[in-house]
Amino acid sequence: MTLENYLLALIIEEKSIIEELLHIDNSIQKTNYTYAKFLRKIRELSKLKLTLEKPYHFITDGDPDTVYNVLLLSPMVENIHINNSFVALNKWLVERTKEYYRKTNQKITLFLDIKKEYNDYIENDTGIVLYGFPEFVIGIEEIFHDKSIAVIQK
Amino acid sequence: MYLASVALLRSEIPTYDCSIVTIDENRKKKVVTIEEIEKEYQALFSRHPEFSFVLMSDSEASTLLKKEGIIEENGTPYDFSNKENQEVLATILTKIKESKELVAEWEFIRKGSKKDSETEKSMLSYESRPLPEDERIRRMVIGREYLESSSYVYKIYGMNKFQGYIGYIYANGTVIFEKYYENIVTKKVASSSATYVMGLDNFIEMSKLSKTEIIQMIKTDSSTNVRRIFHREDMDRWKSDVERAITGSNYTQDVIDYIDTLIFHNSIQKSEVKS
Repeated sequence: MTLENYLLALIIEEKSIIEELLHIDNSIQKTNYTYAKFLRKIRELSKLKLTLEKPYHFITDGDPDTVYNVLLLSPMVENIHINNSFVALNKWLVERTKEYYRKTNQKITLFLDIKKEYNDYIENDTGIVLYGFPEFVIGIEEIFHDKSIAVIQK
Repeated sequence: MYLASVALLRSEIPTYDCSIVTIDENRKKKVVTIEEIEKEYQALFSRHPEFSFVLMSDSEASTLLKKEGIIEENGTPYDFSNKENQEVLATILTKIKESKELVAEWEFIRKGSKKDSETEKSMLSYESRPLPEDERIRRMVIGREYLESSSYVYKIYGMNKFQGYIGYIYANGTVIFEKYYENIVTKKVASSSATYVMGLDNFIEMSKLSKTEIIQMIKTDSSTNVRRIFHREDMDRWKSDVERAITGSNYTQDVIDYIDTLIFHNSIQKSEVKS
């Protein structure tokens, strides 16, 4: 079973947990992100077509569909920065991805960074991918303007 | 020749529709009529008096192309992977470059040269397209209405180098500001798409800096606690982020622990059921 099918099956199976996690995210973030919206977003997303030769650090806008899309690139994902967004649902996505690799006896180093700051990445010269909605990647790229980073707009 | 063929066709069938469907710059289908093509054809000669129209048969055209070294003696185009033919290509290119007609508009860069890789890099790096002004205005109006109706204590208007900025100070010491206008006199809407959130102490210190200096400070000093909230198509998400910043709502350690319990407890339960 592929990671994508594994996650999709669990998204259906653990609907009530996901709804509870989203309730936490919505009450902290003042958002109104629903389970149905999450399902719709991941159905609509265009998959990232990247061939990565080594694990990368992904700095994302933190939207659950963004994080889901990045996770499908694992094991070439070492780290996901989620802009302190949807921490509950994104934690679930990352944990279930790790679970997939454990069950299939594959090693993976995957870290979820829930901080707001980007300072840890500024010292890195390579291996950073910025991915999110256009204004987010343009704005964050300003911070990394002298670094060699890949930028992908949703 | 195309126009001549159309004329011939229309002499047989006067109502023959010779329109062509093409794609315009906005990626929309566009029907181009033969009259429009003819008009453009005439206009082309007015714009480029150096062009001349020569009517020739296929065999005459073939002889000319051979003479110019564009096709081989047997009429086939040159295979330039062949070393001998590369010399032919070099001669043709030299002729083109010497003609100075193309050189004015195109830069010739040899493959593998330093300039080749530099040019390629710059061609691949993306440039963000500026938002249309009506979209910027839409976002500005939503943002202004939202902040105006929020529970701020003071409103501040930027002066001098901060002209065009409007800030809101809240009871808990949070300051939110952004640039609304590039030019306050002409009311030209700013192209900036970020809202700055900070504490009052940060604001006093940062109000002395330029945008570049603020970005530099965010970049180098993790203790500034200054955040940028970016406008986006879905401005409801922007409102949520701003509301979160104003109220200071955050994921506490207790909340994180509870999230972990929910996720891991369910994971353990699943394992128990399966075993």
